[in-house]
Amino acid sequence: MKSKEEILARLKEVVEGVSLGSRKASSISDSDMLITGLGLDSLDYASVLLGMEQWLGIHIREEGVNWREIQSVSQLADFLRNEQGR
Amino acid sequence: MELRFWCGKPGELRTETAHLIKHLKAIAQGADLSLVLAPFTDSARNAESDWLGGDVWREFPGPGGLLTVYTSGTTDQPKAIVKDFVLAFRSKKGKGRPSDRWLLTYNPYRWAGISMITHVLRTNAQLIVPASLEARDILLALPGASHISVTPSLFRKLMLTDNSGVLGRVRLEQVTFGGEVATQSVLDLARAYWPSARITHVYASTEHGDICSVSDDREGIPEEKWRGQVFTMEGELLLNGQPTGDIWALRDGRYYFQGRVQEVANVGGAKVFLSTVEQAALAIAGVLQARAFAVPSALVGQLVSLEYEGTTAPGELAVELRKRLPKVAWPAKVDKVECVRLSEAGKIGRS
Repeated sequence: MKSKEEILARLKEVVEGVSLGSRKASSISDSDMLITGLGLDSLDYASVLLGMEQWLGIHIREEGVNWREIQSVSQLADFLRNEQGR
Repeated sequence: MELRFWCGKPGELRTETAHLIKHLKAIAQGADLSLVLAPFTDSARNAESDWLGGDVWREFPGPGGLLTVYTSGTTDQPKAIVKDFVLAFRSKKGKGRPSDRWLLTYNPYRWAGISMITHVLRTNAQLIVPASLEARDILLALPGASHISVTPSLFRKLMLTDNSGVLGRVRLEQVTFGGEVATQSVLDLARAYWPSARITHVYASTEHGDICSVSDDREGIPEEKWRGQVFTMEGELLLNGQPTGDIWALRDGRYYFQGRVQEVANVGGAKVFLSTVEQAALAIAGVLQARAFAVPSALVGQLVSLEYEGTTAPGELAVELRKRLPKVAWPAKVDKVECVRLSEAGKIGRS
């Protein structure tokens, strides 16, 4: 299982990749809001999730997730960490 | 009436094709014979029992002259199509001369291969059969040919495999693209290789036979060729009231292929034709083969992913695609791969 720190580091790289470098991983903080802060839309968000799913080797469940509660980089990292152990 | 069922074996392409030609010739000349042709790849033969089973002899009774072939099953289970071969032989269009030397690049057990053989028989031309349908064997046989019919994907594969410059040395009189959409970049590449050749792209299917051919060096089909054709609201072409599964869009006096009904990614409720993404990728310099496919997404249902062969870096390709495609069609993942898999029909693999 990956630690939260590992997931955070990779998550920021994936956000940088999805934004084609317009958001540098080094400039993203754990508390940044993915949509309102980093400017991701739902497709970007979905692409970030896909990248993380493949990296972690998991398949995120489609039901029972309240995406409204997963707004920050840190919250998404927590969610992904929990998904690993599901 | 005699019925023959064939399922050839890999590695015996020349022998099997020679047998097949002999029997097709006999049918065309009126022999009371029907053929059922099963494809000869390993994967197809493994599934053969599901398609044909022991009932094959009972499922296809009838008068002589019938030919049962299977669709390639690119997007679905292959299905049997029964053809009146005598009628198909007599109604086949296209001119030719005995001096024409066609290179077989299609599985002779599929309609594309049968169609080529039929043309060769009808025009008394010559057929060059490579040792196998692998790109390297096709390249070895190519110098003896004056005419070639090939899928765009196989043509790209030949370019990628051609380490000794065979394509540039061969003087072809006719190049025909079929089986998949021939993009402008494919037509331009072929023209660069063979400046004096007649370059044609055809639209045909196992179910409906030859539908249309175009030889003006431009992608798409001129509107006047399809005046009177019927399309659904979504742009699917209907032939004799039957859906073809192919979606077309009319722009500036030409019909452009958008994709197959089944080859769609549903991205947040928006339909994205995978073919559109592939065509956009293939129009970018340095991309030689591309395959788009749908991947599941918990958030938006599906996303598009792309794998490709070529010299362009994935990041550069992603940037270029974002300039050319609507956002829903942007590949969420772009992977450079050693080899994009082709189906045994020489098309981009979908399964």
